[in-house]
Amino acid sequence: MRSGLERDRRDFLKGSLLVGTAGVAPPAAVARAAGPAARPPVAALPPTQARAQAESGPVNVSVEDGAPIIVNPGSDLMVDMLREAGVQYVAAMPGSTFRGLQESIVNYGGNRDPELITCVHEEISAALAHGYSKVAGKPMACLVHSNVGLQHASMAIYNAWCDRAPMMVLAGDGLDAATRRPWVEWLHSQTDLGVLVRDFTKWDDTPVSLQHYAESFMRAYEMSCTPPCEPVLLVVDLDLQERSVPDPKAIRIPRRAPVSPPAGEPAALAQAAAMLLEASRPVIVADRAARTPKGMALMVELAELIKAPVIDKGGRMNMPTSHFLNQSGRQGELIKQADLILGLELTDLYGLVNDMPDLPEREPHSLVAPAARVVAVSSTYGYFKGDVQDVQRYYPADLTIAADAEASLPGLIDALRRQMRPEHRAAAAAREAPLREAFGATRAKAADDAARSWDSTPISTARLSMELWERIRREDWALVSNTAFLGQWPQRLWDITDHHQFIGGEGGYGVGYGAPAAAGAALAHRSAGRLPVAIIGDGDLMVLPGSLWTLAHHRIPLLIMVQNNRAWHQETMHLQRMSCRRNRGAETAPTGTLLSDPDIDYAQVAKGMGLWAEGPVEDPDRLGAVIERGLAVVKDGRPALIDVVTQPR
Amino acid sequence: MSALACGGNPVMRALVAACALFAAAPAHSRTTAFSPEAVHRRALYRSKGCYECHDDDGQGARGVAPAIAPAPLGRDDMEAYVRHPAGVMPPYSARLVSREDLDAIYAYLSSLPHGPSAAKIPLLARFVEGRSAAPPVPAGPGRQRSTAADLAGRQVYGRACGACHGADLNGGIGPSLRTSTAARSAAGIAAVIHNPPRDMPRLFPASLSDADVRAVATYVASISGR
Repeated sequence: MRSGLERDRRDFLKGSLLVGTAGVAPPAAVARAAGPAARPPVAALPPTQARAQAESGPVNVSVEDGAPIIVNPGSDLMVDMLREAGVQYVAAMPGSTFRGLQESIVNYGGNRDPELITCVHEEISAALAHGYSKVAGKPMACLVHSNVGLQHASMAIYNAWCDRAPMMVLAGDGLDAATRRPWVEWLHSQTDLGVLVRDFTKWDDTPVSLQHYAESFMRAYEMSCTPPCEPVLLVVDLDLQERSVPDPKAIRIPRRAPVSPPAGEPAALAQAAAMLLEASRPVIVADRAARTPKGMALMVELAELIKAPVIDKGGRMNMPTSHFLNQSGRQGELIKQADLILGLELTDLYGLVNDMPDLPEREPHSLVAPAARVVAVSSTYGYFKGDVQDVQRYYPADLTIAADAEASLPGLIDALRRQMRPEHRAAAAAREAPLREAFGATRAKAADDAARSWDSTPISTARLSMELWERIRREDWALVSNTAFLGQWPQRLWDITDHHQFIGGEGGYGVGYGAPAAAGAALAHRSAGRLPVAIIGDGDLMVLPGSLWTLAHHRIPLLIMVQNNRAWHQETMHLQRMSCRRNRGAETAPTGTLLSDPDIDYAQVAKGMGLWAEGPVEDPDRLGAVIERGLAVVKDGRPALIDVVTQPR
Repeated sequence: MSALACGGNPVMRALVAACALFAAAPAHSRTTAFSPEAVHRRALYRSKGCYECHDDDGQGARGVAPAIAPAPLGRDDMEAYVRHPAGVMPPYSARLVSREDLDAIYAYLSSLPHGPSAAKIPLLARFVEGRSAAPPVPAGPGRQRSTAADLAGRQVYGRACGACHGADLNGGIGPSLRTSTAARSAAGIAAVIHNPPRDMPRLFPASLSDADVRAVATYVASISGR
């Protein structure tokens, strides 16, 4: 026994499942085996332990060929619950606190629906689930090993929280102190696991019986999927997983009960419609408005009805980039001129209408005309937390509607149609021609900007983006990475027309999201036979490079292009500001922000993890051919990586 | 100084690595000469951190910094702005970047070729097809055209305004002047130049004379239809 205790938390302990082995069998089970006269020792469990013990029988309930076996372990029922909820994948780095559930997924469930996705870090597990959910439109699960695994996963859970993405986090834990083996099992147990992530999950629970687990699981799933969609946490007790269930049919697994999302109250939507129609220069600003493809269609319908320009902030794909009413490139002047701003699921309303430059005095100033009015629609007005600050600075809109934007759009459009009079239609019609001209001019300017440095080495981000675009635009493609540090060239020059073609970014701007989220999104695209591509910064990739192994291991087709500018340039600029303001020189700004000396060979890293890879590519004229080779690999069903040495932005 | 000579000092290692990175050939584009002077100028542009925001070829980056190549501002205009920038650009005192350094950086920026036009790049041509690169000079009834005045206005605009407001006045780091000034007369536009908003450089009177301001204001007003 001592040899088992000396191993790390993931060692499998042999021979510990037999009744009578000291310190392992639940005391109550030992008591039942010994006869009704024995008094069980006091168990250090919450009051509902009696129910838990009533649900489960002794550890060994059957004997086969002389060997005791456990039949109907509780974790088999947990797999049934995953299936009832429609969870197709469970991401996990293995951990002993969920060994029961993992075994049930593989052997009871046949490792299909759900399928186990093996990851080398819990943050990868959670970020993968984050990316997946934005394509699949539903959550997957990630299994984490008690407190140590949950802490690893917490960065990615926070990103998902900020990004309003659903996720089922299942954390193994040994709740009963009386059945914890000494040393490691105590280091990896926690009385209240939820406290680690409670401020950035929507709900958490620690069920103490299987019936409790079943009901909490289904509640957690529905809460995660109800706007504002957020991660949820369920603690999965080790004993609940491993004990036999005498009568599995006695555990009632609730059916799915989807919750209808909150839609705007009709009078409020009517008021919003009236305000939009009164305006001469209305502007629509959308961030996470389109949760589904239907949401994007509704955005187009709304914008076309009143011929209002749309600024797409890119939290999701809200407005086709090739539509003339997508005027995202003119945000500054449109906001300045607007007399009515309609904000739909905005991350930061205050930051949209105010600026606070990064200057020593940090003085805010308004970006809107004094008489401009603001209508804000978001499900987060009805739900947010007090500790984490993703809620952003307070801004009192003229009309605030606590409702899901996508669910509210049909009512808003109906209200507009009812209230529109000929003069409103004429005013809208008059906006069309200038907006079409402005759209064309904005795209032409973007093309002119892209032409600068076209032939340069290091390769410009514009060249990188357009060479890739040329080779995917005729395919059923999807971009599964953020573009904030890429000059937003895809939004400026690609024709992004479908909702699934862009899924936004990190949410919480936590570095490391890129590769694992792309892997999760690509996993979801795989079943649809799409061609996913990602452009990921070198610094971001280096946080969780182990994501590449998961791509290779699970044969997830994805083309990753590394935007290798050999530094954390955002941070270099920050250091530059500090040193210049202090009159100490800009030459030292790269100290601590360069990713060179040595230059990381990302192609070698990727090959080492089982990917096809080429690079570093420094000649822009070589890019096209390399991309074509990479895409051929991806179309063959495998992941590929191309290392491209680029300019900073 | 070699990396070995730096020993384990991380700051010195970073400086050496940065200098090697900054001074490295090959040149950034096919047409830039590799003379020692050119290499030195490029190295200065990078070591002073200019490339971080304005990118390797001074082409700028959306939402970060405007294009500054090929040298759209005059040499003295550039120095005035570098010493007292508007917006979030950090100030560079003479201690941080000397006049001689600025001469070299300005020469580097001036040497950068404009590069191919979008119309000649197959991946970009469709966005500019049918669109004129030069902004039109409208001539309406009752409007007296003075070719010399228009030309003067255009020249001032190209020198002092185009980097931020776009060569075609459609905006960039700065707003579009086709729409944002549509309600302003030439006198109103001149007033903005005299008293610029917080993010706009103050070019009058150091860089722009009264005549320059009148010329460019008249030019911009004519574009926006006033």
